[in-house]
Amino acid sequence: MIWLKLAGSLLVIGSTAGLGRLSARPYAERVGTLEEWQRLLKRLMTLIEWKRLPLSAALGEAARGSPRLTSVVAHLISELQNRDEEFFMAWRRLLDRVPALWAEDRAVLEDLGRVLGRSDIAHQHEHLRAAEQELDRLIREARWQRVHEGRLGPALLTAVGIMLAIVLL
Amino acid sequence: MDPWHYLPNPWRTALDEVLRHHDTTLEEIRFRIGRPVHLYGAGWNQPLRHALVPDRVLPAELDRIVSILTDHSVYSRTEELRQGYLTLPGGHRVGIAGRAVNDGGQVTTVRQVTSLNIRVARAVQGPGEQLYRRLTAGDRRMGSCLIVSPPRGGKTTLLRDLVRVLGDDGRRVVVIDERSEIAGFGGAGASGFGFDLGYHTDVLDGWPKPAGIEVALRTLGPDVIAVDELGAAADYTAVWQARYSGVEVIATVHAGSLEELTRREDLRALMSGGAFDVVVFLSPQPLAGTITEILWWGDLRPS
Repeated sequence: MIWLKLAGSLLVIGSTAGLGRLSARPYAERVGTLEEWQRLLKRLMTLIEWKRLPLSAALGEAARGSPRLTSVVAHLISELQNRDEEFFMAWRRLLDRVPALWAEDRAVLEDLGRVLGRSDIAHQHEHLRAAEQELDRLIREARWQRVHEGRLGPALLTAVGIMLAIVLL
Repeated sequence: MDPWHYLPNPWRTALDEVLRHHDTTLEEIRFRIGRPVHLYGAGWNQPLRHALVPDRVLPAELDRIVSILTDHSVYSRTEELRQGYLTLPGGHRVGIAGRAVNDGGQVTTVRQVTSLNIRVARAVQGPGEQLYRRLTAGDRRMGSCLIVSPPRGGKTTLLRDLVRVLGDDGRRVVVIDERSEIAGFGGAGASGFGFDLGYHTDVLDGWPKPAGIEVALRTLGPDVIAVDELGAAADYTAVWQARYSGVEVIATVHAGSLEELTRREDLRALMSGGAFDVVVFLSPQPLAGTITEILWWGDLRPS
């Protein structure tokens, strides 16, 4: 009987700890996604300024190797091959498909989509730089949240699991 | 690919359907704010009438077309916009009229686009060969050649075909294609160009004429250099540079007659200095590319 109780307790603790980790996941995901966006914008700046690649080609090259962004950017590029497509609408649909973006992250990227490709190199540089700085601020905020709020859920749920196990025993 | 295939709908579909009967003679498609789209061909012109398209072109529509023609990447085409045109893959040129944005006396771009003129580029094979035979008849050497006509006179088409003939004849030709119109960069041809320019031809695409001529002389070892639309003083200096290097030049220039041509000081100096062995005059009437006069250096030489 005691073995059954012990096994049940371990199961409860494991489940609540797992649930705790799940509750912390959006914080970690957000940090990862924002870091990938920041890398993409840095590469995009070079590809636009130095190579003068059109947006489709530049975005495709800039997103290469980003696990969260490669496929969504490829989708955007295929949408832009349709000559009736407006860039901003396609960009908004891209943001819909990117996982783990919070409302404030999306607002920064949506603003960038409004001006991307619509001016000369110097102004594109300014827009990309401004978006990158905003992302930098959001990344710092997201990291802080991951450390502080992201730890609270797992700790609480694991504690609840331990309490349940004690009651069971 | 025909130039209207680069337009967004409803224009693309409407033009595709309407031009089924006219596409071999179509020369220009003109969009002007507040007026219907108008089509111009060899000896005909008509407004575009189709159920899908509005009677009048709206300003927002022109902005949308320019955005799509630049692949949503204005920054990659600012140099062309500054000069009032865009070149589409395949060598089709889109002239842009609008309000110039100035910065320190230099035009930086065009805003408030008021009209677009899409010129259809076509490969016409034959006139270049005819001209070449005419110029080399009786063991005469063609040498350097200047092709002269008013706008829409068929200069670029003749230049392109002449380059093809020379390139296939074993001459090493370098084309300085500043506006991507001669070779049609990005076209559907196996070489990556829209037009066949001959076997022995190299293309410097997008190079300004003076810089392109310098690079061609230094690195590509040409027998002949071909350039379109001489205009700036630096272009004429570059032609002299090529001629002093023992390279022949085939060039085009805008003018209606020899008198108009020699009124321009730089051109007069080129002509009287013997930069060109032969000058070919074209007329847009009755058909673009009609040769009206051929003058040899001996005819032009000041007495």
